[in-house]
Amino acid sequence: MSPAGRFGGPPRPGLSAAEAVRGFRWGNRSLVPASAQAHRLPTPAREFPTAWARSTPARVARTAFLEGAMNPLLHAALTPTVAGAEVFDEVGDGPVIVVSNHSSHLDAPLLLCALPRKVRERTAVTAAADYFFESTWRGLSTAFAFGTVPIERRGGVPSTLPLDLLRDGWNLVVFPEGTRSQDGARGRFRLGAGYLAATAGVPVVPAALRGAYAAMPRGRAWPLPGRPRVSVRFGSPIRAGDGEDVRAFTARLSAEVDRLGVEDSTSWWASLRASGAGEGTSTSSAPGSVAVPPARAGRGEAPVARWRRVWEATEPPAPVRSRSPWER
Amino acid sequence: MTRGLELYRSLPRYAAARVVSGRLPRLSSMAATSAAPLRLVDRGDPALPGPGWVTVRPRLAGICGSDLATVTGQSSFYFSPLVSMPFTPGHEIVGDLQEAVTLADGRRLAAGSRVVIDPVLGCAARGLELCPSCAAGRSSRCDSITVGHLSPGLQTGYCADTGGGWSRAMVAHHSQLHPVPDTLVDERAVLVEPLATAVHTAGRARIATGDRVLIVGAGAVGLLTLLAVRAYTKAEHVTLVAKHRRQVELARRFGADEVLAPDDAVGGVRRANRALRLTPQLGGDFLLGGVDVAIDCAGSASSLSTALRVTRAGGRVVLSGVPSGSVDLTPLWYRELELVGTYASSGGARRGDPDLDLDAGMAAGAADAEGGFDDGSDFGRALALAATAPLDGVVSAVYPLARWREALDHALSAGRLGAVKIVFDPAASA
Amino acid sequence: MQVRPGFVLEVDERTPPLLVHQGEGLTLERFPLGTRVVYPPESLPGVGDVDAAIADALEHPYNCEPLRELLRPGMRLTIAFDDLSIPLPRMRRPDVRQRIIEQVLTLAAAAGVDDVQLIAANALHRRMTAAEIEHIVGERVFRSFWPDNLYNHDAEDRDNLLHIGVTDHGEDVEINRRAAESDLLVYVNVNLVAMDGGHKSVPIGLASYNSIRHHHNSHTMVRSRSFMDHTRSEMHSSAWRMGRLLANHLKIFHVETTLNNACFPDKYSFLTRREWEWSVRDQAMAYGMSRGLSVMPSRPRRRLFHDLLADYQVTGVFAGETETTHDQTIASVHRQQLVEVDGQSDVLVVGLPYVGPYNVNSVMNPILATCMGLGYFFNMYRGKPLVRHQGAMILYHPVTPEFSQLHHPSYVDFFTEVLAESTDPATIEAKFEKQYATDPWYIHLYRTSHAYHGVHPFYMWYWAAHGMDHLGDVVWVGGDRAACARMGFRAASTLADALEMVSGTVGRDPSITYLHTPPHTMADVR
Repeated sequence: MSPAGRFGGPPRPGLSAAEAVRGFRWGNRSLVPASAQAHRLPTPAREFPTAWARSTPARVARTAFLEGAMNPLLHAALTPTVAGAEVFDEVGDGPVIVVSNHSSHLDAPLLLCALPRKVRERTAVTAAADYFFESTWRGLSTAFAFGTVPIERRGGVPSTLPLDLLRDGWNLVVFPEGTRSQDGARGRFRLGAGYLAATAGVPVVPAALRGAYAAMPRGRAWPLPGRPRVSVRFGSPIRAGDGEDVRAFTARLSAEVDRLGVEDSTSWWASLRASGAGEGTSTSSAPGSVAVPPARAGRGEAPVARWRRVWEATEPPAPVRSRSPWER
Repeated sequence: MTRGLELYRSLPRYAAARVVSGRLPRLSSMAATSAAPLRLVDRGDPALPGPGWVTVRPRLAGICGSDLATVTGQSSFYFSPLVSMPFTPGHEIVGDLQEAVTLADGRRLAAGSRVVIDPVLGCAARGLELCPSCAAGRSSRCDSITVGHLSPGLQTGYCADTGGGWSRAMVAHHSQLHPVPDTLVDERAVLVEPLATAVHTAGRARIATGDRVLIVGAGAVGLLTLLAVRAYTKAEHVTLVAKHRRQVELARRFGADEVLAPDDAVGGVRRANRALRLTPQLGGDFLLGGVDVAIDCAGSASSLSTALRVTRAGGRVVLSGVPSGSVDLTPLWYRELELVGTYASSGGARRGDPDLDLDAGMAAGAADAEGGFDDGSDFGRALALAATAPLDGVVSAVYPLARWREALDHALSAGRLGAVKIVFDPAASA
Repeated sequence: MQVRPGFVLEVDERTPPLLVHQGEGLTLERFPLGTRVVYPPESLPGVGDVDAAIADALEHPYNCEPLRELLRPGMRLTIAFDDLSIPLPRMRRPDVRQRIIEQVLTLAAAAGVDDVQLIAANALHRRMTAAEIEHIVGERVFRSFWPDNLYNHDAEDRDNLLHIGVTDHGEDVEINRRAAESDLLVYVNVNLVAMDGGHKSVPIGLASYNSIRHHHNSHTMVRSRSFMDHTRSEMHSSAWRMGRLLANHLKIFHVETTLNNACFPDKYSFLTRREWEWSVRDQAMAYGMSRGLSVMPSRPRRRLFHDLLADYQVTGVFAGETETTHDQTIASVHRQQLVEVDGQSDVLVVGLPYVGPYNVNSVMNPILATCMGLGYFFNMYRGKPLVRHQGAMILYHPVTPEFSQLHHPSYVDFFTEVLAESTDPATIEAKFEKQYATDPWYIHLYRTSHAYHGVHPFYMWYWAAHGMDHLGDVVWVGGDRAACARMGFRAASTLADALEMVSGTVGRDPSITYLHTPPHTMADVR
């Protein structure tokens, strides 16, 4: 109820401005009453507006930002290496999906900086709508810096935006695990990336990132001191076979990502052998973890202790080549 | 030495009072009390104009609507030759006789007797041959009120020679005196004169048995008229238009069948009489059908207009209040209405007068029940009503003369202030 | 998208202020914790192709031959339709009645029917203006038939009424002569709430006072529990008896339609949304409107409200024999409006909107407000009332003693004369109804102007009879004190005051139910 009027009139029914502000929680999020929880609206496919970030000025600005600020920063804080970027010459002009394991906030900038500029200029990074786009500032800044687009990882109404982007010739970076790894080991790949590739008919470029977890795991806002090593390795494009099941395709993708990780830490040949032996058991192995035989000892075995997975993941990548990673 | 209020000739004051109270009705009380050409003076007792005159010392004197109109300059210029300045207002008087007097019918009143005064100054008071009206007992219609051995003046309270009720002493002719029984207290006796007027109105309205009557206005005139209509006619249904709460209560106490708010007057009459209501493009609604007799007791243009618009074709509209303002008389013409005036009372009218035909049988019954004051005259009946009607509280406030401004202010807003009749007590000291 | 059903909210700390209608105004109100709020189901999607649905209904009626087969050359065809009292607010053009009438006329023209008349079934309601009729039937129909063959029913035109007979309960059945003497009467209805339609259409819509008085009286209304449930309403039982008698004399083809809950234009759609789902814009708009309307001059405010046209969608068209058709209609209405509520409460709170069935393009005077609150909203239940016996009802309405002389002349007199005498429905019925019903001026205005019949305010009061009988206390929040007192109620300045006032009846800690309406919500109280 409103207090007595300004001139001392009787109180009126209804709310004063202050009560309305408090009642509607202006400046906060609106809440759903407990008894109405069962009757919530289905979460609306709320699209954070990101189209502006794909306009030419934003692309130019982004290139300038990544090459002029982000790349020097990465080199200052880390020791990055890149391998296999030439695969993008193979796929030509058509759009591709880049899938990678995901263990750190470094992953997206590392991957983007590793991409050839021509590819990078038309690449968007899919990012969890609930994490990156709930906050206006975080949404705007990541959309600018990395060309992120929101995808829904909690279910709900699927957005058509990723598919539309592929059809428009944009490349997508997808982390099929859906979230950063807790312990450095690769998590289960969700089906979204495979489904997108199969639906849009675009090839998938697998990539493995090693050392990012060791450099800046969850919960850290800046890499560890000492310029830790990180490596990015791209593999050959993979296409979904005719009538291939999305699950099977996704399994192929995850196996290839794992293999690339092993390749990065050992050699191509060793990785081929290791992946042949461990095919189908890759559900919780970190890329490059072949060095630890018990982890791949056989099907159905209990996962190794958490400390060991972390231990593996934080093992610094040995330098394979010494040349500058940003030269092709 | 006698103290009294005097209305004197003062053009600026008169004009100021008239303009202010006419243009700004809200300020009329201020106009009346500060601009009115009225003053409190000390003079010698008025001289007795001739034989048959006697000095009366007022005990209470009422403030009438016509007094207020005069004081605020709202009354018509028509009256100007009928009064003589300066005069002391006040014609609703109950007072003591200074000396003994013998009335025309041979009754002897001792000195100190209480009397009420019939204010009309007709042929008898002026020492003239009786004009035909006075001879017939209808002194209110006297044609000689400007001649004779008195200054012009239609009533006591408008004549320079007689004095008036708003003073400590005045003179009255023995034909004007009506003795007051000891049982009647002053507060009731002071209402006898207005009651007599009301009885006269009820007679002039010629209400037939079973008639439906509307009284517009619930000031002292309206309420007392209601009493008279109830007591001396066989009206079937009496409706009163009242604005203020106290008036509504009194109207119900005085026997109104229905009390309507002013804005519901047309609607209420329509309901009760199942008339058709029409809305002109401009101006108030009116009825086809309505009451048989409407009595305007407010004397404003709107009250008369209401009365005219809610009376059935061939009905009668009675003007009781002092009329003011102009009114569209089309309904009078189109509905073939009778417009009837009523002024003061007929001092000597007797039962059976065909022109003042109050129902004889009814009046007799009332008289028997009320102890025999009722000789059929307006004053006789008024005395009977004053004794029996539930009049307690009608005299709402008594003021000494010295506080006349306050008294007039109170009287001008009487309805809103829950008052009916305001009176002066000239003997009281401030 | 899936439509969410209605539900009962329990006010907790997280509940934002809730919207309460208050005549020509809106109020945001914080209800005490634990208050139950009854929300209607969301608007159902309309049928995709209304014209096809109508054609299908006319071609495949319930328990009746297709309309096409009932039409033949040389016959007398009469089409009657509901007047402007439904739907509320008015429907954006084209009105569903127009679409149906056009199809019926198309069929009639194809069959070679010449003698066709259209009658607005306004019973004792006011005559509609030409523009109002045109809004309902559409320009094409209007131009073809107005004014000779398209007109308002006149319940006082003795020459044009026909006494059909008397039911086994002794009720006179008297309806419009033209309709009664037709070879086929097509009745086109909008079933806005469960009270409408069925045998209420012809035996009441086209009847005379002589016939209507049998079911519109304080006795039947107090026994109609509720009149929104025709199986438990004495008024409907009487109408049903009349309808069955009528069906023996007259071929009636009923077309009934139901609408969804989209009773406000899109611009104001937040009025039908749940408050915690309001966007900041909705919240600001609601608050701004609640404040702005309260300081707005009444004339533009009234125009603003009465110019609203609802974006209703048609959720069903049903045709055929009256009773079978009506069962389908009611089921459709219930789908949109019925909410299960668990048990009664001590206090029922409702906010009265700006319009009721009887003040379209007019003022909701205190009597209509009473009818709206204690009549319509109180009766929006099936089974048991939402409030317990001798509980309290709190209504939001300004109850301004303002009357339309054009539309409600008898209401003015009812308010000043009848209610001053008594507020008991039975008493005023005995003492005053006949006088008002036969008053020549009211009859004159009903027949020639746009006034409700003289007896209509009595019916409004009878509508509220069940509520008055059931309730122990009635308090109006924000109501005009004198007007409320005249009607035998009390006025409070705020909800807190109102709860304080009813604490004598229901105690300090009563259970409260707020019926969140409009849009229409009907509680199925278990």
